[in-house]
Amino acid sequence: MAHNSPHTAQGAAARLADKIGRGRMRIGFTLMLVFLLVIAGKLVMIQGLDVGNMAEAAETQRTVVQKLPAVRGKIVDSNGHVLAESIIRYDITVSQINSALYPQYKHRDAISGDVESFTREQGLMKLATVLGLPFEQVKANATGEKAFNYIVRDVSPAMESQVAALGVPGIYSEPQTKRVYPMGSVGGPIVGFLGSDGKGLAGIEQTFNEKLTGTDGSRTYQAGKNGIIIPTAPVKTVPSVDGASVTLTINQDIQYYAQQAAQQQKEQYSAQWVSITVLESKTGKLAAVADSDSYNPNDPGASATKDIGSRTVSSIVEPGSTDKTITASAVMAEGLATPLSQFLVPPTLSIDGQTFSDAFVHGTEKRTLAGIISDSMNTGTVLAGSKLTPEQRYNWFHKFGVGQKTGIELPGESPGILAPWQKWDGRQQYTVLFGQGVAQTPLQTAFVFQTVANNGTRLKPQIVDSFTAADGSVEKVQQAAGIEVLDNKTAQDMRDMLEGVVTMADYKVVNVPGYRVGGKTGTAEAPADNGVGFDGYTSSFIGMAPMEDPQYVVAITVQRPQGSIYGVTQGYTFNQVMGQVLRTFDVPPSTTPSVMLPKFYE
Amino acid sequence: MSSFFPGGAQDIVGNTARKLVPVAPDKSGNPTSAPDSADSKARTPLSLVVTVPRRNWKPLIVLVLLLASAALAAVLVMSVSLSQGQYKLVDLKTAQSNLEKSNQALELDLSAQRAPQSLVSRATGMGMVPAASTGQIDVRSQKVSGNPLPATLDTKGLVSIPAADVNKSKDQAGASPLSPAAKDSGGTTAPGQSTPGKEMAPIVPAAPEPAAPDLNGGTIPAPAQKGS
Repeated sequence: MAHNSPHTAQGAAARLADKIGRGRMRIGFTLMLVFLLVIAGKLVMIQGLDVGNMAEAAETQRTVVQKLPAVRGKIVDSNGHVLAESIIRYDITVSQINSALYPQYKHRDAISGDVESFTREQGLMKLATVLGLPFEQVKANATGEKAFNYIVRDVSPAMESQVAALGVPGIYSEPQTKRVYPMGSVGGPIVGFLGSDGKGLAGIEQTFNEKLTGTDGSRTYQAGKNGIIIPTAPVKTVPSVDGASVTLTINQDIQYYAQQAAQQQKEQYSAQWVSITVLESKTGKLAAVADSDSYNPNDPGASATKDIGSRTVSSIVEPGSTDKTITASAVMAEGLATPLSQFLVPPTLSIDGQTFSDAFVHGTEKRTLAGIISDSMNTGTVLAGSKLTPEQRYNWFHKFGVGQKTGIELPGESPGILAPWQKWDGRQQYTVLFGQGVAQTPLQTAFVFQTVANNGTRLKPQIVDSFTAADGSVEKVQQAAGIEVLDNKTAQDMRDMLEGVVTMADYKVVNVPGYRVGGKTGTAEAPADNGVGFDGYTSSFIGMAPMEDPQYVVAITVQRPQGSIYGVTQGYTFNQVMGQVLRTFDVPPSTTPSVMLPKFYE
Repeated sequence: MSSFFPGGAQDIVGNTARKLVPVAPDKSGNPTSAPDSADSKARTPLSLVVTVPRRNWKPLIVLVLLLASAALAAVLVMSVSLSQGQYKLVDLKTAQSNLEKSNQALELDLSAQRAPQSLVSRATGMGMVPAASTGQIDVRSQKVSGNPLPATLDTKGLVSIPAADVNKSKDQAGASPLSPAAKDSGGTTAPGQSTPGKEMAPIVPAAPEPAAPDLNGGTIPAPAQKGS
């Protein structure tokens, strides 16, 4: 190309411009490409590879795990009356700092819709009115530098909603789960109470803590900044399982009555304590386990430590004459005697160098076994019981459950004390025959009489009737097969003799109008707490009714009544409690005549 | 083009029109080439060119746009209603828990009211006394057994056991000496009540629950529930 024509020059310029333009475009294109690549790379890194776990962090930020607390099961009596339940209560709290920030505040009335302005003083005044507290107290609690302080603890939800409606700045409320016992001290020692960590510390609350406590659930969801659940995000809910409710065999009304009676006896005789047990003889179900000075589980701290727990299962006493029932049954069951067997009872009985006398003075008497039991003669009992070898005596006491835990589901049960017969000393081998030198809980003694009432079959005390799971399924507690202690004939003979105690006594105290009753008194010396000698007495009466087919056993034990022991009687209390029991459970009156076994022979 | 005239293409150059031998179209519709014969004056055949109808895209686009916006609107509506539902759910849950709480409080109150202690104290307040003796009526034999006597005013019941005050707040214990934990004149020493033992007043029904919709001194209306 030798000549540069204008045409060609123009073309070159155009080409150059074209070239430059293309270069720029290329650069721009490259830049954009690089930019895009960076973005795309970042996208892949974040979305695809998730370097730095951003997605996870974001999800963690959005994700809320909420605990769904399980509600502790109720404890109810045999008729479904609530003895223990968990409810929501509120603590009214204050941030003193926040409260001070609002010397004046506006509040919109929820009903009229008017916005009114109040001073802090006015607000606290209204709060005090709602809470029923002195204004000074509320103000003192709300004033200061603390970020958290209580105004008042443990108020009802109704009161809390009133407080919330006031809208006083700096005042908050916190829900709390509280265990309440609407019956208070009625059945308190049976029901028990919870510790501050929500675990049972006494009674059924303790023994069935596992069953009563449910399993906490959880809800995992994603929430926006305002706390509202993001509807499209996944929600994972593990439902909580509430604890099972425990239905006791206790009848609230009988429990109350028995507890009243126990308290009455305690006060009348200034006794150390009184225990009354009411049981259903055919099932072993306890209708009442009443202790004097029963504590109120709503406030266990207010009671003396010695009153925590049920004395009926944890305290042991020498039962005294009530154990003559065991001796008489044993002698009859071994075929060594019948109710009408004849014993020549001397005024005092000397045997193996040991001398025994009776509570009343008598000459040499021709007594039947029934007569010995009916007047509760130690001499006669030793005379009859000495026909048994010490080993037999031990075995019979053992058969009746002495020295073994009954297995009742209450904490702190004592097995009682029944020394092996080889270790009995010269006197003890005879005193056990009338219930001294052996120690039993009032519950054990009650079940000796349950055995007689139930045709000789000893049952395990049953205090829990059923469990009701959160889903409504009911699990009945099965009564274990009883232990055959006596045959039917011996049990019947024994019952006749117990009825004879009531019908043939010189001073008839025990009397439930319309019903045939039987039972046995007991008076024993109470070993001193320091283990040296005796101080005071244990007075008891254990009876059953109606005698033609005993349905209920009522056992009363009074520890260390004051005053003359001969003036102490549990007969009236027994009449009252047994009468109440028979009427409450609609037991038809007796139609058959009472058995009156002769006390003497000719 | 050559494919149109597979036979005699060699004679045709450019756009010169030549006499064409009328040919019968073959079965596929294409005119078959005829041998270049002498009949060169034949008329150039005309054929009807059918124009391909042009598709009108407008309605489709409108339809698609409409559909898209409808879908978007639907998604929006769904999303809004879902969120709305969530808010409503929260409100309802609050209402439910409030109702459960007030129900719980009422049931507790009921349990406390029907506790034997409360019943006994109210019966005593009405002037009722326990029966001193009882009897049974046999409906069939029309006989009365036992020894029933009319109750007299001076019939004394057993000592009473104080009722549990389940609605008492912790900090209120000292502040409300009017607590209904009453003891009868027998002076039971039953424990568990933190109230001072000095009061010997007759038994009062248990636990005045503040849930009653009073006006709290005439200033604050007491709403039944927290506003949901």
